Amino acid sequence: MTRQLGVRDIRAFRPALVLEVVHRLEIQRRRVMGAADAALRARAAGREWRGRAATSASQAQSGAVALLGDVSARMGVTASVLRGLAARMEACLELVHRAERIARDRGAWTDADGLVQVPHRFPTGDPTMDAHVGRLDALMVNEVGRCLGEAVRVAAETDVEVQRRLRGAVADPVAPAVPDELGVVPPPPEGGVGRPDGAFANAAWWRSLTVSERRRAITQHPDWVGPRDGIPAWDRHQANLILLARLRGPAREALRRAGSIPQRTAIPTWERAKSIEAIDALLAKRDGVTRQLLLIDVSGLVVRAITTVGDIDRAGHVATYVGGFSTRPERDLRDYDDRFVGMRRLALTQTREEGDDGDVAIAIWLGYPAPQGRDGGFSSRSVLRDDTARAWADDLASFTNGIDASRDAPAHQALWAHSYGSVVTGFALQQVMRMDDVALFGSPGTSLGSVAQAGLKPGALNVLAAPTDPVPMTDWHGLDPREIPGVATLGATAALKPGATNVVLRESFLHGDYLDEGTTSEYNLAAIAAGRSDQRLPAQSDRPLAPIPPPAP
Amino acid sequence: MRFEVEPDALVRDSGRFGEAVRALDGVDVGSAVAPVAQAFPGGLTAAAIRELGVAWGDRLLRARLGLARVGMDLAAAGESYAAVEQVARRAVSGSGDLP
Repeated sequence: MTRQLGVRDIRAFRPALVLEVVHRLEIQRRRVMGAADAALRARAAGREWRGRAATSASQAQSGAVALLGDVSARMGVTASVLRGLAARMEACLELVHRAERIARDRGAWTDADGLVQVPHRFPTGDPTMDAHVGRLDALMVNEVGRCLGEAVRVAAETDVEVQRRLRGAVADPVAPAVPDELGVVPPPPEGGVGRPDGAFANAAWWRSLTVSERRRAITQHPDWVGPRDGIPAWDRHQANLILLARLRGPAREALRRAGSIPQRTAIPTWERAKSIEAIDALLAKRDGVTRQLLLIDVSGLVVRAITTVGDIDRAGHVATYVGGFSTRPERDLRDYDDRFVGMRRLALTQTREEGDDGDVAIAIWLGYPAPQGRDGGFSSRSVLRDDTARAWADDLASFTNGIDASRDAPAHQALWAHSYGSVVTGFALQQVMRMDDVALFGSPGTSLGSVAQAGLKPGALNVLAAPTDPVPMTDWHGLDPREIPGVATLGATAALKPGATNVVLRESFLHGDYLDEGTTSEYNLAAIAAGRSDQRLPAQSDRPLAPIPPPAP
Repeated sequence: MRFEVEPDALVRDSGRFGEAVRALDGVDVGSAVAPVAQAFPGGLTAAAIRELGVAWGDRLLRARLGLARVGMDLAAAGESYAAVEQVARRAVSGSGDLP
């Protein structure tokens, strides 16, 4: 009678004992080979003995030696399977220990069965800070739960495979080939679709694989790796390059058929091909900037893609840009990339000024099918409706959670959300996710009613609205974020550059001008990405910005 | 029918198979893998370990019996050839003497 493996069982795993078994098996295997060697030295038949009986004896001797060879091979398979088992047990134990560390870092702990115990938090008197602490606790509980869940799943998958292989090793009619490793455990089902905590499961799964298993997953199943939040950016990049290569040929052919002026019916085909061209062009740039491809999905109405400016895995500061209405890779990716190369440089200057030598990376998150002009004003995909924002908010939360989950130390993370992207961000911030600083700019309204609802620390929600940009005045999607209590309203009009006496930052006039080089809004966004809240320039009409408190316990 | 044999070589070979059987005496995969059930408790593998031990015992016994059988057959063949030689020698031992 067997039962489901649990955390308690994993805690009792003793991989060293399995390796000792492997060692004993190897010693015994050498004995079997010694027996075969002794039998092989019996060579009278054919040399000192000739005749029919000698022929029969020779066959019987060969059969006996072959039997020993077979036993030796089967023992080799058994030892190899057990070696793989020991590695997996180590991985499962490491996931349990990681979960314990994550809990401990927040003053919590896990019991023998893996249930998380969170200590009681006394109210601080600041509801925003209390909500922020609550959010961090919820995030921790999710991450610990996913980490332990994945440890249990990997252990169960391993159990099934090991049991099957051990049986095969002794009972299959022909001795199986010696496996180099166990098969790669497939990724967790909950990590494939948009769930904010799916990234934690993916990260745990990835950590459970050996280096060679990861390599096999990337080359043999790039679709398992490329789109999955929670996997390190470089690994996703490698897998996405394979996926991109698979798409390139058919896309070029489709583009050739569509012609230079696309027909209405061929627009999606044309956009797909042009998106791939745009990504190829970015990745081919040789300007000394690291770029990573974190998503390419051409299966929907609008191509989804995520690229980076800088190395997400190593950067101390990661800003994620969420585009708005009508953004599409084939139309916008090159432009965003150009702008963000400059903004990253600006943010790096700001970090260096403070003695922070951490790198800055920017993710261009076109990971949702933004509403397009062709969607009209009445369909569920219309920019006037929030259906698309609601539907894809989980994916944004999953992406940013994945950045932390894939790393050993979390990065300072910021969100730059423009226009309809701020609507998506408003919904995402209500999911279980962590964000250090947020900037909503050119926002047509938000579903957020308070900073506490976003789970942000006090002062971390920033809003930019150019006086001449009509979109922030529409309130199409709820409250004007400038009206949220405790929000920091940052400048988008002309201002003197901090630390300079004769450098004036320009005003952003139009809805699409916030990222323009040399503007106050660009400077503010760079300060947010760099974690330099002290460098933010307030809107002229606003009072001086309150300092942001230190991170919550 | 024609044959050529060195009966002592057969007896020597039989000894080598005996040596092979003795080499297998210390081989007990079932006992060797048994600790896996404690090291990886609670699942299908732990439950199957005992059964696998029995299967390994059968397989090793088969190998051991196969070797022993060949060894015994060789010994028997060597002894038989020696006996034939003895009988044949005895049969022809006085054939040149006058009655």
